[in-house]
Amino acid sequence: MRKYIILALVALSTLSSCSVESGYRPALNSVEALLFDNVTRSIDNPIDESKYIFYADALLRGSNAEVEQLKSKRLFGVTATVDGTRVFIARNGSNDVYTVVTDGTALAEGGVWQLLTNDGKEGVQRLLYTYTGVVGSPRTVSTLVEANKSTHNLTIQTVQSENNLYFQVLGSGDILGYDYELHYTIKQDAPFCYDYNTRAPYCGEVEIDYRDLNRNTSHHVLFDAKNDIDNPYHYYY
Amino acid sequence: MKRLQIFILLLFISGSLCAQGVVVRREVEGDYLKITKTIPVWQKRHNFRFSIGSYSSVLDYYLSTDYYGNMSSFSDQVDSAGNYTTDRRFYGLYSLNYTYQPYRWFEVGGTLSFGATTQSRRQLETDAKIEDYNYYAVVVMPTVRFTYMNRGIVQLYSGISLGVAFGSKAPEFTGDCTLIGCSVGKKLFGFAELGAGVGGWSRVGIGYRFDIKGKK
Repeated sequence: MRKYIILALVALSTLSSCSVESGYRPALNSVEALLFDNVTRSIDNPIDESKYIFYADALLRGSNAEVEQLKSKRLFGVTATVDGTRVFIARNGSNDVYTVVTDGTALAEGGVWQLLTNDGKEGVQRLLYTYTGVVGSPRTVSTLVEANKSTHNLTIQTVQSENNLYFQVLGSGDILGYDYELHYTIKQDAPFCYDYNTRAPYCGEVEIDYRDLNRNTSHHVLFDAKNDIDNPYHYYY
Repeated sequence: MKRLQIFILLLFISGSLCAQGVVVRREVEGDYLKITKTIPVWQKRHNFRFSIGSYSSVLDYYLSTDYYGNMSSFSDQVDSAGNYTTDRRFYGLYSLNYTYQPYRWFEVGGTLSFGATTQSRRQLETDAKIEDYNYYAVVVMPTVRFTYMNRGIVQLYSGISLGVAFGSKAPEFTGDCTLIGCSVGKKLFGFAELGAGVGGWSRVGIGYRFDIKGKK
């Protein structure tokens, strides 16, 4: 009789304290990756659109080699027309027309150029960004972007390496969300590198200070773009 | 068809006769076959049981977490990315059961059960606890039990309970069924059951039964 009771008690103890659902543990750098992604998504448009400015600049300088190179990298299938101080860049088979409006001064001399779009509609001219040439720094523009209470101060340079043409980006900015604020600075000695075909940098470091205004929590992050390789938020085109 | 009906009827009767522990003795006396059927006098009794049951999908309804992470805004995503949740642990469904047994084959009474799960959310960096997700359920159910085999100290039975569960979540009707149970022992006994419902798919426990003294 006693052994049956002992058996029952043993069985009783084995039924106790079992895991019925696994917990969830995010990747260690999830916070950093989220903050980094917020920064890169906020600045990818002015960086990517600058390709029209560099293209117009190459056209106006008469540098055919640069024109062909830029066309082959990203601007394939475009037709450009120069009309005085304006350059019209249209995509073949599309109603999109980008207009680069210069102030008559070359970029290399500090010219202030505007990029407009017609949004695919005739008669529309909407200002996208204003780019200012950096004197003494060839194929480099700076731009100040202000949108949705956020500010981005960027310097974008087109760099030609042996086999590649890419953007190199420095700058800083403030992103103000509904319940958070974020300040970032791209490290001077580690600028972002953008391939012409991606929306996120493949090298560079950024320092990010983030504050949650409701929870009163903060994060200070130094993120290397190389660590972002597994970021699921990336998208390529 | 009539023979089949009689056979099925005899099958049910033999079941209850088994439960009654009827002893049938056959003796040859001269030219006669004497058949003696001894039906022991049944003493009504009280039964008390304590058991632990396993987890079940029915129980999960009352003990599952309502926290699934809040991803509605960027700040919520950052907050969620900075913490983790522990495993959700279950410590068994503990039950106390009392039944009154007026017949050898039938018991009626009630069951009171208690079960709980624990889980917490903690910061990734410091492992500091942010929030607890502990849920408990109390189940109160009238119970009936049917014994269909009684062989000395071994009994086989089934049972059904229907009642209410309440606790961390709003009260709800619930039920439990003992598909097959086996108890071993006379006064002090151990038992194991396979079931379905809030009591878990398996339960084990110990019990005590004592006869009610009085008119036989």
